[in-house]
Amino acid sequence: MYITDVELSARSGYSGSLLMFIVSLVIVSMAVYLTIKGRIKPKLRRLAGIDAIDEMIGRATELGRPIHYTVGLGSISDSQVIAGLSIASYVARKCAELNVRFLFTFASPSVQPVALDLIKEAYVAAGKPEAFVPDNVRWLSDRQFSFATGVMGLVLREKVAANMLLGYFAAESLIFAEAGFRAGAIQIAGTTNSYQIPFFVTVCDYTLISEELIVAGAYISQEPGQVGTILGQDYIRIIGLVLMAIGAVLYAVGIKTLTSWIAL
Amino acid sequence: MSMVIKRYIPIVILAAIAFFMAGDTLLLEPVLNDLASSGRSAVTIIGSFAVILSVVMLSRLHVRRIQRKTTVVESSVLLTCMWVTIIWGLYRFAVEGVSPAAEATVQSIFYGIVSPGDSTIYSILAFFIAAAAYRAFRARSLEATLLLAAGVLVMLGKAPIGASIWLPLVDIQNWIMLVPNMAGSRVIIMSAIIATIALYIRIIFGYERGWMGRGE
Repeated sequence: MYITDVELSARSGYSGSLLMFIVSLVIVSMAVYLTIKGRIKPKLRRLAGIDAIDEMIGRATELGRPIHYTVGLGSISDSQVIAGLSIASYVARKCAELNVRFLFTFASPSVQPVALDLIKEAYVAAGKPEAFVPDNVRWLSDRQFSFATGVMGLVLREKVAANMLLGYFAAESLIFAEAGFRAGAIQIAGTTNSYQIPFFVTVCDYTLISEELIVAGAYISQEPGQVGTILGQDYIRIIGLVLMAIGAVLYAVGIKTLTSWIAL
Repeated sequence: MSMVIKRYIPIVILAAIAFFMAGDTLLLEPVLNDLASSGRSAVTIIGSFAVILSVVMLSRLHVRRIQRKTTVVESSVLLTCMWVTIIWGLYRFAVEGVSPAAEATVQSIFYGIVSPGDSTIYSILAFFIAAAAYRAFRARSLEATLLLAAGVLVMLGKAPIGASIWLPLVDIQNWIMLVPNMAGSRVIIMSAIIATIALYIRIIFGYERGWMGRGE
């Protein structure tokens, strides 16, 4: 038995549509299949922030100063944190290769086991397992402003060469970014929180806006399977826009069939 | 074998749970919904154990700092407050049944140290916003000039003095917030949702492995 949109609203905390779920799954799967088979070769637009990561690590190497990376307040179940961890894995590996100290901070304890494991593995993959220091993966506090204080202190004390803020951020975003600015660090930030994006755009050198953060892991990997999902999400977006336009016109003339059908 | 255990088994478990939870969200089946509810409770319990790991690692870091005499005072204050809160709070709860929310020492540490610290940092934010706004509002480009103009209009429209100067400022402010600002915000939200769907599909299919390390 399907849940209708009315029932979904009644069940607090639940939202979704079975039809849209299946359609999304089919579209992305098809895009992935076609990309892996080489029938479609998606061309990704450049993400200046991600392209600048190597430059940031190079700068840290020249200055002999560490890199600070945080995924913010989110827990391991947050998509922004997962995206941030994907990029962290790449950055940690590059840091290991170039002997740059990599400082990783987070607020939710649930991030710790995953972060420790993936950063350690990045050092192993770089052929320098002995350079991995568990104390550089730091839980500071799960309280928002205690965490912000910890990050601010760390960034200013260590005079980090690069400050990477990629994950879930709330009111503490500007505290992090201003601390990095005052430390003279080159900064990249990314979040999907529309309230914090203006702060990051203002203070940071590079900003990943909304979906750019989520797709960054796939962009870095360039694997056909991952790139295919980016193509799939573009298809969903186009279909969504067309349906929105048609739905708006039909709704305006009093036909609600399409709206009810999509809500199944 | 180790590769199978470390790479493929987690992906299979993750995909199975992901479909199970998606089913719970989208289907009204009492057995499935009850099982999923128990699953969420189990996740919360397992997640709580991560706190122990974090506390141990934080303690180790600060003990080393004290041993090296780098931040003796700060680290000592942190360790004392943290362990007094944990040990005394647990003792009073286990032996005397006093809830940590009503325990005097624990509450003194919270309201005497943690809470004022949080408020101080939050108030610093006002100065940071002013500094960032100054940099953003310098009209160095067309975008910055538009931001400056929109910012001034919204500020004047929101402040009581705006209506006194020129009444239509309130309507202009409303239009800026409800039309261009709302449109931009919704684009950001929608693109994030679509990207998140694709991210979860990447994870379920095992293409996205960055979160579990990329080592070969």
